[in-house]
Amino acid sequence: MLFPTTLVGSYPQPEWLIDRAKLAGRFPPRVRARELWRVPEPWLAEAQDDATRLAIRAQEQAGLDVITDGEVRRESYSNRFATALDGVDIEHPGTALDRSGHPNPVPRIVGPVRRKHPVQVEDVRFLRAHTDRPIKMTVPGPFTMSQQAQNDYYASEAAAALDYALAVNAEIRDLFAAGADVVQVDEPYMQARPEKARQFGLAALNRALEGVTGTTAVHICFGYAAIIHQRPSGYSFLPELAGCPVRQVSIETAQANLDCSVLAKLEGKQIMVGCLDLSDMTVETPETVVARVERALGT
Amino acid sequence: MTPQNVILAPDCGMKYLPRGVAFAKLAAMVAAAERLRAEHGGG
Repeated sequence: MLFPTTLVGSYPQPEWLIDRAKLAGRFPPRVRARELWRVPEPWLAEAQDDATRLAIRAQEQAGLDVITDGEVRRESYSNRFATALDGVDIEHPGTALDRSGHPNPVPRIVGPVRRKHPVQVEDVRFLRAHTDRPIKMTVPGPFTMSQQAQNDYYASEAAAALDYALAVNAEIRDLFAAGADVVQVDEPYMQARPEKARQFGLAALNRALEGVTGTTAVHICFGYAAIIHQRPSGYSFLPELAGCPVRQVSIETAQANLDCSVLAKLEGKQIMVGCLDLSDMTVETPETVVARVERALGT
Repeated sequence: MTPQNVILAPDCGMKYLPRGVAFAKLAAMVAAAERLRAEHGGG
């Protein structure tokens, strides 16, 4: 089928589950932010499952073709995975600059970064059991996680990123084995830190994908519209992804007024064309969305 | 880029949007996909 539709990853969480104002009023959590949840611990997992059912149903009702779990169980796209790893201290966090330039508490790397156990495999099984449509699971990328950490152990950030890559690689394999049709690696910091992305980020991402045979995607972006207000008109890091073994590249084009000629450099990739502007609460007409996609197509 | 290589998605995660707005935007995207299929012969 042409023009399949999907979320990038997350869908709004219900107000009864998480304090949405508090969530939006701070930088995305890199360590844990348990205080955001409204449902106390003994019932939190059940509440997250129920809210995930709602997110799945909403996507089906809207008519999406590829369904995610809405990342309902996550405080941020990256911290569910990043805080589950061995080798990071989240009780005594470090500090790293967010892409906005502000300091944010982050996992402090104190030893070899290793995956202790599968982190999101149960999330895939739950999603698989609750929709008949193709499913996608997102996982944070190794480069982005290396930038959302304070490195007190490795000789270089590149070395840290490579160990994050091994952890992500093991996770991706398990997510496919559990029934994921697409696994998307979120690497927004490749756009935020293009020099480092070229120096070692792309190699780390490639290592995370090594030996993986399922359909993979990589998502890069300018940051949440609600938090990062400066929107450039072009990507600092995009043609480089031609050399990455992913099948799909997810980019935003709706709010960026992106020069779409750059997409020609990604020949052979499927492009997840961002065609809904999330900085504008006005709902697009289908005509507007069609026009954005046609612009990306160059027609 | 060819139609065969295009997937429609929001710009980024929809986490911070009001639920009603998110749903309505997705519905508009699905309607757009149907029109694009009709136009490009992929109906």
